[in-house]
Amino acid sequence: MDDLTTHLLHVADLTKRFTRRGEPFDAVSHVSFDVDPGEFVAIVGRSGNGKSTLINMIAGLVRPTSGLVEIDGAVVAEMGDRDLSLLRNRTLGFVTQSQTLLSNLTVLDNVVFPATMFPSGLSASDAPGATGPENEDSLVDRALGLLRRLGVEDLAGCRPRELSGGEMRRVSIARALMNSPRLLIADEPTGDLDQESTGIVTGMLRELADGGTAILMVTHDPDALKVVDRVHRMDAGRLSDALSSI
Amino acid sequence: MTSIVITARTLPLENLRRRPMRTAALLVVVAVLAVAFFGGSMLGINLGNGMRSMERRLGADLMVVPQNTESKAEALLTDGSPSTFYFTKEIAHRIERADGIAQASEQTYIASLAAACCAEKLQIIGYDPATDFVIEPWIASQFDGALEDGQMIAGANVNVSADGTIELYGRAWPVVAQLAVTGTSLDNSVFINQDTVPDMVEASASASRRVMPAEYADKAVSTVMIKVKDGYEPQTVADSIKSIDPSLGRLGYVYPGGVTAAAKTALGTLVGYVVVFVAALWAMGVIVLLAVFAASANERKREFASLRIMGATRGMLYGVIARESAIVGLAGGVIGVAAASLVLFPFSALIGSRLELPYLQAGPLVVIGVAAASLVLSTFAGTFASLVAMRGLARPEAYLTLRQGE
Repeated sequence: MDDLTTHLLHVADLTKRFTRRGEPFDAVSHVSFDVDPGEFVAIVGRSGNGKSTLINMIAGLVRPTSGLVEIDGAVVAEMGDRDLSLLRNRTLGFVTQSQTLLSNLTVLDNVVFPATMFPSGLSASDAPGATGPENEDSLVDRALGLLRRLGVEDLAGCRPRELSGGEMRRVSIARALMNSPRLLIADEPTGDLDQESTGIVTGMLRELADGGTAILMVTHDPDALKVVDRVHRMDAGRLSDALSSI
Repeated sequence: MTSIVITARTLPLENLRRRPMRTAALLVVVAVLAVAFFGGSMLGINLGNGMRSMERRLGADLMVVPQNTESKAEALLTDGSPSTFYFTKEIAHRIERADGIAQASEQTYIASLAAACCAEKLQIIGYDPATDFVIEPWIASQFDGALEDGQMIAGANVNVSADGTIELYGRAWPVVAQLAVTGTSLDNSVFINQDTVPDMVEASASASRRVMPAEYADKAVSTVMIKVKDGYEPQTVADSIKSIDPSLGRLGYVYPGGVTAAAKTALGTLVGYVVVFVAALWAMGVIVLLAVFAASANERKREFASLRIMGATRGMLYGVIARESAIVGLAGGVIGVAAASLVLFPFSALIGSRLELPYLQAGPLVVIGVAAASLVLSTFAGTFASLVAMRGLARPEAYLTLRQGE
């Protein structure tokens, strides 16, 4: 516990045990690693090897069986519901593997929505969260800017059901970035994207990392690996040491 | 670009707006529940009011009426149609000599015709203000004066002309007061003093059909209303009357307490049916609501997992669910109460006559109270059903929900 506060993300000896057909197995087994601000880290590995479980434990969506996750100096397992929710909303951005846009809202409303959830928990410099009438336009402008950078601004008024899988993925990324997270967790962010769109997304993520955002990405996409700083392989729940550096 | 930003607070309304079919179906279910509760409650309350009003108006312990007219007399006490029946004053005076009578007063009943001669078909009740103990106390509470010859006091449902008269048998009779609603047949009656009865009989003769022979006009008595002395039972006094003369034994004896008891039994049965019906409808309605919300809970697992990932607290999720269902419950309740009101209030007289029970519309405060209770219950039912159906959606392991189908 000596240097816990020096990393934005600190994972130590993290394990998640499930039971399958009556037999216990470790989906994630004794995983330890750190991510610092501005680092772009990728985790690769075959499906079912525990990558998604790992990042969901980091986000506090799944309770670990043992081990520690610490984000920005706070132990995730010790946080109450409100603090953990605030962490997910303000410190983390999460791009899920599956489609999680709210079907009743437009693309623009989906992207703006996370910025409206904790309006009182922000300072003036964190303008996205303030939802007074004077700030609504700035929220919309920011959301449109993100959609523009991801090449889906023209879809702002569409419903999720009108989008392709790749378009939904890019909208999800815009939503995850709406509150300017310090740590972006992305589960297969280029999974449904063509090569051009993959280039747009990975370029944007690289730019974010260069600007100081820590990025933890699970991917199978070799093109996406070209922009990362460090790659880990996950195999049978165990995380390898860094395989490469760019 | 100007936009109205959707927040967690406004999300429920947006969810309802974007699912019009589901929202409409839920509104219909809740509205039916509100109709049942509000309509059933108002029906029961109004019938109860009618019953209490009838009890207050039946100040006599015993009514002695002509032979074979008991059922007509009972109908006059509850909600029957107008009748004419009578014996003579001489019989009435013999009755009043019986032992055990504290007060006795004579009344004469004449049914007006529903014909060109008359404004409407009414029960004309001649009473003696000097001896009356049944009508006078009630009238006195609303009419501070003496009823002169030729004047009338009108029941609540009687249409009085703008010039303050009622046309009966070709004559315009001045109305000095109109009484409050009782929910009984008295609302369709007009009251005159006994000295006016011969005038009315003569008027009937000249305008249409004579309601009784001329020789009876000043001595017709339809009933002797009797209040018994303390310690006497009405039945005992009736026996005492019969013992005066065997011919008096053939008269009709009506015990208003018995009429009230019979009406109460009928009312109790009706209210029982209404309660069972409303309870069954509510049970079914809540089950339907649970089923609808449970079905939508399954389809909304991903939505709630998504909200958790974005940073929604469990409280926010429950807030979204509760607000959605509260909006449905409140709106459905308002629709239901309004729909029931459209039937209950304009047709209250028809409802009363169809049920053949005294039916007295409750006052505005009671109506507002029952309407408010209906809205609260509707809102609670919707919120309860949705929170029960969706209680699992805010569990911490949102991830597992999200992984379903991946």
